[in-house]
Amino acid sequence: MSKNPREILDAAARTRVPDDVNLYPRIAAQLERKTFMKTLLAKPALLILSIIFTLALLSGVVYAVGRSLGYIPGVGIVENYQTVSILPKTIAASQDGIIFQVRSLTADSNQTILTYSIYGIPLQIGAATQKCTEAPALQLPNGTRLDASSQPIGGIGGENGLLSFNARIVFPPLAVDVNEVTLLTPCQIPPITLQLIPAPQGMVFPVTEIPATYESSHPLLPTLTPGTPTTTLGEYSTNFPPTLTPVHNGSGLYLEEVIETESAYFLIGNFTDAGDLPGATTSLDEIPYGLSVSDRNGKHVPLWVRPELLQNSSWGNVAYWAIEIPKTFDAPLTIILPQITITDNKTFTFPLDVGANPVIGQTWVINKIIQSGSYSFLVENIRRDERGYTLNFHSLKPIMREDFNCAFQIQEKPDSTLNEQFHESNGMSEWAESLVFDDQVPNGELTFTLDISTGFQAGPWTLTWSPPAK
Amino acid sequence: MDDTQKAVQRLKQGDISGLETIVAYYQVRAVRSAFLILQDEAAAQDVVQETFLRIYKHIRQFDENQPFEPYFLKSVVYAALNAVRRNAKSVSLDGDLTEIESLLDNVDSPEAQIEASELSQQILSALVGLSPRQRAVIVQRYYLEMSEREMSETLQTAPGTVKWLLHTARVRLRDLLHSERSNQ
Repeated sequence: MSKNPREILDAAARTRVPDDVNLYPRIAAQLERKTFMKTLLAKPALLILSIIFTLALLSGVVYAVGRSLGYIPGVGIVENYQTVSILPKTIAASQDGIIFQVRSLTADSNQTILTYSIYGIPLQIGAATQKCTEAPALQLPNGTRLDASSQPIGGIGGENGLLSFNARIVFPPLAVDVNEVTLLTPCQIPPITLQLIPAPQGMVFPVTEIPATYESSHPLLPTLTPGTPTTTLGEYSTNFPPTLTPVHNGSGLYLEEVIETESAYFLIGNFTDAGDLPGATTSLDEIPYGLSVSDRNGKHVPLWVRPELLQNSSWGNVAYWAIEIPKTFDAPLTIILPQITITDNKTFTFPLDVGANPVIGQTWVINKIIQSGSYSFLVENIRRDERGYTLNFHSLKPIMREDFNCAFQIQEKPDSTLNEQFHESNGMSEWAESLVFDDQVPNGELTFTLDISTGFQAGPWTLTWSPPAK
Repeated sequence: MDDTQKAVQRLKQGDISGLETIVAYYQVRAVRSAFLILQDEAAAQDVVQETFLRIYKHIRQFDENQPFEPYFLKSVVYAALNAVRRNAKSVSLDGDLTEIESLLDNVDSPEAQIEASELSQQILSALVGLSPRQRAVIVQRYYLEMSEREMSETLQTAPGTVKWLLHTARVRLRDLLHSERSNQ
């Protein structure tokens, strides 16, 4: 029985993922937990009763415990901050030149947060070192293994052929009587014993959650031309004036949460690409570091990016940001994202009959203007080479090399190698895209396809927020 | 308006039964897509669960006039790639780029009429040899049947790069499949 590609892949995946997979009970359980916590946040009285009830059920002992939020710089938000345990100092272990450094271990009533770094991982990743970036685990004094409830979130860097890895990972909470755990590290480093002590006074800043009511703006964006060859030279301004039009479920800056300490506000939000932009967004990961804040008078307000408060978005179109700002400012605050990069992707086709026996060096004049984003290009010609064809084209206004990407192929025979030559002349950029074939060079009626991707900057995006009146 | 569109609308209005409908409708395809990329059933289920929860959280921001399916499935692929990054088992998502289409194109040919289970095993073994991003492009193009433009948006890369990734993934997968068969 013949099958199409989708059916073949489906059959392959079915051998491991059966038809009766049912995720909803897990999802519902997690939602129930979240909803419960939300209710607790909103109703402190119910909270105390609930915790007393829960602890009484667990231990047979009734505790009078209130829930309160705290913030530890570099670690994040903790619950019931008066009872938080921490690792008093950093601790490290090494093996074969690889150093595992525990930067912090923080246990609150809701979770256990580990931050750590691994240095000196050889680039020649083998079976042992490859494990370095896997999640560590905790072992309790009774031998129970505690696996992380999240994946490590962090970044990889490196120099001189050695990689380093910084990460933050979250485990389930520890029982109140546990003050020592063993860290089971990846990459064959011996286990590390971690002694916990109560967090010293002043280390955890009490915080409260306050409403996140705000207005945000959507810059004027160009309407780009459809993806067909055109002879019109379009010009778009990239200097868009800010507006105070609220974003209604569209792309833009969103504020999700505001947390207040005695001296600062923590603003946590996101930039969402809702699919209404004239192209695809790129480099959203850099958004937290591109923000600036000004007060009512346009005066710059200092800010600190707080990566420990960043939510890990699994959405390619949502980039989270989290910043801390001091309380001393004249409201309202304006949070400004100066620009985002939007790419416009266009495909142009050039049908051409090169004949049955084209000669090397034979050139066919195209002389057509094409447009991608705010850029126009003149496609000059296609030339027959010894092993394939070369397309020559140039931009009609200067374009940064990093704002441009292209691919060239022959539809009838896509299996070729693409070589690119690029140079600048009189402020214009010139490209020669060459297709090289390992076997027979195609002849006759051919469809040459050029994909062009250009980037432009769109912004500023603004969000205005005022603290609630006291 | 189909059932999933109605479910999205209900969810936007705060009716959680909408989520149950969406999960029931998309979960198998989503988990299989994530599995083909991650090669780990448990991790695939985690990724899809996480994606559904994020949908629940951000549903207010979803424009119900837009089609939900491509939006959701692109998110699953992105989340699977994100999970690969978080696990960081391979530093580069591109792997050693230097081929399924031949197999997928020729499934009707006599030599491809082999036992279904054997074919499935060959496909799974060959997929392991691809980089996560190569697996993602194969899944998007051939399993989710996305256009190259949709793929370029999910992968946050130019269509030309998608073409190149597809080409290299096909070449590598074909080599791996040939190698699998010659070993049998």
